[in-house]
Amino acid sequence: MIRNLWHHREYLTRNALREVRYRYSGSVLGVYWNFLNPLVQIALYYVVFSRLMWLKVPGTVDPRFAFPLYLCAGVLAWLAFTETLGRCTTAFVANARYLRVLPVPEQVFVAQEALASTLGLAISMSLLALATLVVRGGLGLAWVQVPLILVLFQGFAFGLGLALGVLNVFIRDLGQMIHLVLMVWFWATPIAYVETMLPGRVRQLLTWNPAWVYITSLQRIVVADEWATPATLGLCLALALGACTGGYLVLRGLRHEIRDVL
Amino acid sequence: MTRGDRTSPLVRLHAVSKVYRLYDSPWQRLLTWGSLGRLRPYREFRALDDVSLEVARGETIGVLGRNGAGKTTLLRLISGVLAPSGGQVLRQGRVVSLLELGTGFDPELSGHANIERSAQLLRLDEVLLRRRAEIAEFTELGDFLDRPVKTYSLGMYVRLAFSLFAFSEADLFVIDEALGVGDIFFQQKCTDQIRAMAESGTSVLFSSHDWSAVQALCTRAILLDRGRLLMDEHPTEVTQAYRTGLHETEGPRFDVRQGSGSTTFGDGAVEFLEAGVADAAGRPADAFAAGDTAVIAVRFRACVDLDDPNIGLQIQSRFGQVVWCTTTCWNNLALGRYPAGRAFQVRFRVRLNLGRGTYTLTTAVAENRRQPRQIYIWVKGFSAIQVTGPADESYAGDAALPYSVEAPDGRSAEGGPRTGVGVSPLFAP
Repeated sequence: MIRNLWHHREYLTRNALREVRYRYSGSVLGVYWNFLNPLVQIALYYVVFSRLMWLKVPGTVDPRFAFPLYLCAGVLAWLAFTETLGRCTTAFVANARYLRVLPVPEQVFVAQEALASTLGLAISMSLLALATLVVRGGLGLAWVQVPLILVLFQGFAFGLGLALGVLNVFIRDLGQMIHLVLMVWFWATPIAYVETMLPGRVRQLLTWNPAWVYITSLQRIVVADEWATPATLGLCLALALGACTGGYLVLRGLRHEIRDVL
Repeated sequence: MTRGDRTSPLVRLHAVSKVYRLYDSPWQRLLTWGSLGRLRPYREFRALDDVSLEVARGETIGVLGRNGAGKTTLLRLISGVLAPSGGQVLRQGRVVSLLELGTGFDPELSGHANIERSAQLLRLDEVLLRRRAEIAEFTELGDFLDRPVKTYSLGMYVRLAFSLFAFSEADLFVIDEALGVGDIFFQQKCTDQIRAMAESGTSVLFSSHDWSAVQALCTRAILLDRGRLLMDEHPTEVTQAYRTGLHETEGPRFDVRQGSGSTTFGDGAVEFLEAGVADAAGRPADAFAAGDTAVIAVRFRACVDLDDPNIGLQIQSRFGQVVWCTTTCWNNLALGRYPAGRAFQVRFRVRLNLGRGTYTLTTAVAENRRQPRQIYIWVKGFSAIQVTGPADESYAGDAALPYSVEAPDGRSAEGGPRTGVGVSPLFAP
C-alpha cells in the first residue's frame, strides 16, 4: 500500500497544491481565501475571548491570551480532522468516475483527500503560530512538536477514513453517519471547553477517546509551552499506526469488490 | 515498467472468470459480512467464464459480442481496473486504455495542466512529460492548451485525449466502444491513426458492435457470448458468426466447436458429417497443379426438418481472404426437403485456377436466401489444399488466368493453368 502511494507521490503532492490553488478559482481573492478563512477565525476567537469574555485555562497565568489560543489550537486541528475524515469516507464514491476506468490503486484517492486537508491545516497552523508570535511576542520552543503531532493526527484520520471509505462503498449511510458521529465526537473532546469542567467520572470515560491525546497535547504546547512526553508521542504514533493498519486490512479484504459495486 | 521479452505475449489470460455478487439490499451484504461469509443471500452474475486468451505484440484484435456478452468486463480485466474472481491475468509491458486518458481530465484545468495531471495519475510521467512538446504540437490546439478543458468542444477534447494516447508509448492499447469513447474516436476518423499505431508494432484491442470495423482493422477477432469465449479466429469467420447470432431474436445459440484446425458453429439445425477432396479421377488428393479440377464433397445430416437447405463452399487464401465462393442458392439449385435425421451430400467440381499457395476450404448450410441470415452450420477450414504454380515459372500471382502474349513481330506464347485456354474437360460428362 505504502509503495503504491510512494509511486504516486508526485501526483498526490501536485494534486494537494492544485486543490489549494483552485478550490477558490473564479473568485477575486482566489488563493488568498485559504488564508483569509483561518485568519478571521483566529481573530474572532481572540477578540471574543480576550476582550468580551474571559475563561480561565488551568495552569496558565495570562487568561487574556490563554483561552483564545486554547480554542484555536483545538478547533483548527479538529476542523482538519473532520475534513479529512469526512472527505476520505466519501472519497471512493466521489471518485467513482475514475475508479471505474483507471487502473490507479484505490488508496491514492483517499490519500489525496487527506493530503489536501493536511495542507490546509499547515496553512492555518502557520497563521496561528504567527498570531501567537504577534500577541505574545514570542513562540515557545515546544512548538517544534506541533507538526509531528498534527501529522500523526492526520495519519490517524487517514487510516480511519480509509476503512470508512471502503465500507461506505457498500453501505452508503456511512457518508451521512460520519457527520453525526463527528458532531458527538467534537463534544466528547475538550476543544470548546476545558477538561476540568467535566465531572470526574465522565472525564475518566472520555480519556478513552482517541482524539483526546492529540488535542490535549496540542493545547498544552500552544497554551503553556509544555512539551509532550515521549509516552504521549508514542501513544499518538501507536493510534495513527493502528488506524492505518486497520484501514489497510479493510481495504485488502474488500478491494476486489470495490470497483464491482461502484 | 518492464518491457519484457519481445516474443512472449503482452497479455495472457488463463481461465479467467469474473463473478459479480448481486445483493437485493445493503442489509444482505451486512448479513454476509456478519456471518463471515457463511450466509450467502446474493445472486451471482457470471460476466466472464473461463476465458483464456493471449495477446501478442503487433496484433490488432477485435472483440465482438452483444450487449452484456462481457466485452467491457474483459477489457477492464486486461487494463487492470478489475480483478478477476478466478484465473490469472498476466500483463507484460504497458497497457493503456483509451477511456482512461479522457476520464482523467479535470474540466477546470488547462490542457497543459491536464496533460501533466493525467501523466502523474497514470504514472506515465516519464514518457508524457518528456514528449510534452510533441504532444502539444500534435493536438494542434495551440493557445487553447492554456484554457480550461471545460471550454473545449468535443472534437478538441478528443484530440487532446488522443494525443496523450498516441504518445504514451504503450505496448497495448485498449479501446472500449461500448462506453461511447470508441464511437467518438471512430466518428473522428481516428481509425487511420489506430491503423498506423497497429502498423508501427503496437497491439490494439478494441471492442465494437461494428463488425465491419473489426473486419477492416483487425488481424484477429474474438467472439464473446454470455461471458464465454466462443471464437478466437480470423475476423472474417468471427464477424460471420457474430452476424449469424445477431439476427436471432431470442438470443444467439452459438454452438462453436474447435477441432484440429477447423471451427464449427451454427444453430444446431444441421450436423456436419464428413467432407472429402479428390482429384478429377476421384482419387483422394490434397495437392493440385494450377488448372487441375478438384472434386469436393460435403455431407451433412438434418437435425430438424429442413426445407431447401442452401449449401455453400468457399476457398480462402492463407491470409483469410475469400478467393472464391458459391452456394447452391446462387445457382438456383433447389435441394428439396429433408426430414430430421436424413443425410445429404453435395459435390462441387472446381477448376483451381489459382496461384501458388495453401488454401483452406469452408462449407456451410444456411436457409435458402441469397444473403442468408440463419446459418444452420458453418464448418471453417475442414480441409486444406495445396496448389503448385507453373513448373517453368511463366507467370505468378494469386490467380492462374489463361493468357497469351504477342510479340511485335507476331510471334506469340500461350500460358496459364496447364489445361490451357479453351474448353475444359471439366464440363464434359
